[in-house]
Amino acid sequence: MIKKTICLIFFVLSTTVYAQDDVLKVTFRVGKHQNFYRFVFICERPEIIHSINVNLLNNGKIKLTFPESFEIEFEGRLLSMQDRIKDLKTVRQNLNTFIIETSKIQQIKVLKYEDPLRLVIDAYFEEQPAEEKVKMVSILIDPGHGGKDTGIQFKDKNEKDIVLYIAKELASKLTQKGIITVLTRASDEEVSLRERIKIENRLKPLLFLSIHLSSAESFIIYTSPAKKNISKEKLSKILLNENKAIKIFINKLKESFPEPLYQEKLPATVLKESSVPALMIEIPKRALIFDKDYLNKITDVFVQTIEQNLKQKARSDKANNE
Amino acid sequence: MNKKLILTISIILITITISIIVYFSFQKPDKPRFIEPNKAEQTTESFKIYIPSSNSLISKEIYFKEDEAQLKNIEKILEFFLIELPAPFKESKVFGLYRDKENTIYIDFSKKFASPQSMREEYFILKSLYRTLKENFVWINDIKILIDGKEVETLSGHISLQSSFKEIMEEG
Repeated sequence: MIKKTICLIFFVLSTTVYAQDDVLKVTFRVGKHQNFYRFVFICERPEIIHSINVNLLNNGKIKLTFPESFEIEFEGRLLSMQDRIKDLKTVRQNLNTFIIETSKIQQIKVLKYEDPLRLVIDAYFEEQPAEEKVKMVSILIDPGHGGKDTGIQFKDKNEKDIVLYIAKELASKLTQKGIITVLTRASDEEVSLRERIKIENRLKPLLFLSIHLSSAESFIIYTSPAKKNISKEKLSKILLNENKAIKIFINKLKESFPEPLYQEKLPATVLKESSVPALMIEIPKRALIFDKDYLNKITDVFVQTIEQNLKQKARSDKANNE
Repeated sequence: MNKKLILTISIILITITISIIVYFSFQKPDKPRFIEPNKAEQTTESFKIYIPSSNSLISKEIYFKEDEAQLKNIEKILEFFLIELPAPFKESKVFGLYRDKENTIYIDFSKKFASPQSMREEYFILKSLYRTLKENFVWINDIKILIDGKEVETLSGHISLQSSFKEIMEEG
């Protein structure tokens, strides 16, 4: 009886080991070119390579179906059911399928080569010029105050209404230019500083712009002297981008308006707790008389400034990638 | 008869003189006053208050007789501080002053103290209050501002008062 049991255990173990050795191994390689990815699958068994089914799905993902279960090896490691390779995401729906997710693929070419036996997929995507990349970014505009918090008042005019008008006009003009723009408030509602920060942390825009009115006849651009909960490496990037944005704002505002312009570092909460480049701009108090020509001129200058800032950022990102 | 009259008048005069001396020797000033430094009495102490002035703070020295109760001294300093602020903040009142076991001071201001103002004005009012209290009372650990007895998120919509006042002011 004991002998029989030992034999049975030995048999079970040996079949498991045998089964493990028998799993099909496919080596995966990836290369990124100017307008296409090259995905290479190498397998020693020719019948496998010839029977892999490759499909381009409607959502731009590539799905490979193998005739049997397999394991994918990439740079000496086995890929898990959900994995990441550079900017690609790979998913195994089951043991026979392999999905590659990346920026939307428009067309694929599937080729089979020998020596070594391999399946090559060239997946083409549309390369966007630097100018078009501006469309991918988002600006978060924060009209200050709102609700019970009126901000500065002059006769029957309130800061909260003026900055909301400017913010809405700005958002509309930026959207027309293809720049994704979001507002922290779009009506006369009370949004706490904490809530504004939450919105910013969730959206992670390329630029956070808080709009307020000055109590003097001058433009004031504020940034925070310190940032909360930001790593040193990230902080230096944020500060660099803030400085670039400030320079453009200063130049554009100086050439467009006669009012004096100041730059100051003060710990406004929305700036201090922001995890992206963040500016607060105070507009001269003459905006309180609600002269639409003046307010529209301000929004036009802001649009030009933001556009220039985003284009500059896209160019520098491209240069860094190259 | 003449002797009696002279004696009566003398007694009346002596009584009046004693009354006047007693009255003036027991009379005290009821309110603290600004006193020139060189004329300061031995019993008064000097305190510094900070007041916002466009882009910075200016300091002013005040003298008054120090009370044994520290909260009374803070109250007096806040009186001087508020008077020196621009309108409408100078019309603010202090409704209450509390101290907790961690030496955080809670100041309950009237609504005027939360009047609308620009970012810079809000920052410098808070900074001047912080420096005034911290420099005169080193034992103060932190300051909490209440408006009409309630905690508020911000005075004028730019700086959150929900995190530590100390952190906001010392980083800034």
